[in-house]
Amino acid sequence: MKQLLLLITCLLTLFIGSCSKDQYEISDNLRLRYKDADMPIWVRGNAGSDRLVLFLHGGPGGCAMCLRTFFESAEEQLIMAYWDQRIAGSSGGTSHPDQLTYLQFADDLKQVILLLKKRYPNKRLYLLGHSFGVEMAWQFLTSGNNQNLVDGFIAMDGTYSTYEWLITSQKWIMNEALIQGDEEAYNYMNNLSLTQSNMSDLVDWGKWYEFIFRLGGNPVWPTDDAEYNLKLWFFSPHSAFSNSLNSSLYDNYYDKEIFTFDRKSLLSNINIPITIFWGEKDGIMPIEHAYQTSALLPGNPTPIIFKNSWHSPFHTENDLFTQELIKATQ
Amino acid sequence: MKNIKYRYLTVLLFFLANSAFAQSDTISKQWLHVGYFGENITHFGLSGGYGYSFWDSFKKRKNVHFHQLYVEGNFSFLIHPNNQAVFFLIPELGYRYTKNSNWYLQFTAGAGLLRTFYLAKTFEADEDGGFKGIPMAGKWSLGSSFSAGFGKSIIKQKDLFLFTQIRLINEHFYNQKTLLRPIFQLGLLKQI
Repeated sequence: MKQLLLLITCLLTLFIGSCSKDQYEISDNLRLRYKDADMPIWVRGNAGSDRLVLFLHGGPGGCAMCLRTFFESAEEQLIMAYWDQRIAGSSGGTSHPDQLTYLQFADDLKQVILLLKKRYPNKRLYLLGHSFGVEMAWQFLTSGNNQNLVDGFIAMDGTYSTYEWLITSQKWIMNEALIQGDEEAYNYMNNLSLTQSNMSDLVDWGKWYEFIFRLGGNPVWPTDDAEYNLKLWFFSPHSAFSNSLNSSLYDNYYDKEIFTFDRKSLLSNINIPITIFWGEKDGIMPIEHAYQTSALLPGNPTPIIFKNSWHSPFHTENDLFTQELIKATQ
Repeated sequence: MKNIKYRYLTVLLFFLANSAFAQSDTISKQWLHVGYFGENITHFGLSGGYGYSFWDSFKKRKNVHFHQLYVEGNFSFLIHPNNQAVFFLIPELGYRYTKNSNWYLQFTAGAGLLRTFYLAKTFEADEDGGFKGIPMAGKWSLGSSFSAGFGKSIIKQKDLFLFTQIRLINEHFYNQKTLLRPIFQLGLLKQI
């Protein structure tokens, strides 16, 4: 009987927890229906803030709300908007994999920004891109007059060109392979002569990422933490079931679309404030790429380096990340 | 004298035992059920349904074994807070094996409709930067369902069962794929 009561108490606690209100003043659930996709945007944070930060998640096919736990401190001072991109996170609808193009992602981003500006007309709007989210942001910001729609961009561990990234990554893998005595990884990369025209034929993503992870390119993930998983499955609007479907829809993206991405020559046209965040130990998007990005931008902004981080500084150095994010939007 | 006492006692025990395990040779053809329906405790909902058995047979040996084929209409919903509410209308075909009217096992397969309502203010964007609010936004989907369940009689009359059921519902189409929803059910089934 005692065990039964304990079980009922635990279940009720979970139930009540799932219904509890958000801590901060803004809790606005939005959905954007656009070109077959129904994309959720959750806006959370301090209503008194004049700064709204739109988080562009990575992947592609990742999720935004699933990472909210790492931005909750920032919500005390900012308004955060978590947008699940098409065929990502909890996004639904009938979007087709053929729509997973940089053009479409940038088009979607524009609609999300316009919607947020309509609902929050007096707020300054910043983009915070992580990994693939950076690629999407560069695509958007370097198209037409789009950059005039936002007040700044924080680029975190992401690229402006697939080819440039692959070359940097190849060097990182060879260097780490030499240090760690991984002959197979070294020889594989050493024999690869990548050019912009042959990379789509030569790159084997499975092998590439196998080497990155084997050499410690990103040894920590939020999902390693049981508390994070519990929160994700029970107390978050994020839908892990639908998110798990997404990866299989990106075959065409990885076979073709990703190799078309190159905004290198357009970065010099950027005239809004750019802040570069980077994890120093990142092996997915090596630190050298932070400086390459900086060199292409007007004013060559000095990257903010997170010395104890790999690919996701918001996860591994959360306090410092929050401080820097608030600073970057001031 | 002693033997007579034992004989009475034996007869008495026989009757007691027999009444305790007495079985009906019939089983109800109709029932209603209601109960919890959710992906887990925090993605919660309710389900109700009506079942009708169109074929049954029983065998009486040591125990009474009932076999039934039935159709069932189920209406259910679940809420994923701050995300969506999903309504399910799924008719099913089922097989149930009941032993001694004490407990049963059942398996079902069905197909029906799902309707999602987003728990969010939904706006449709046009290419000119305009937005139109969509009340009651969501989406229709086709659904197929498979389940396995177990029920246990909880009153003397043996027409009220506590049941639990594990269900897999496929949502077609979700981003051009099939979304699999595992569902847990716990409820009461009343034979009528």
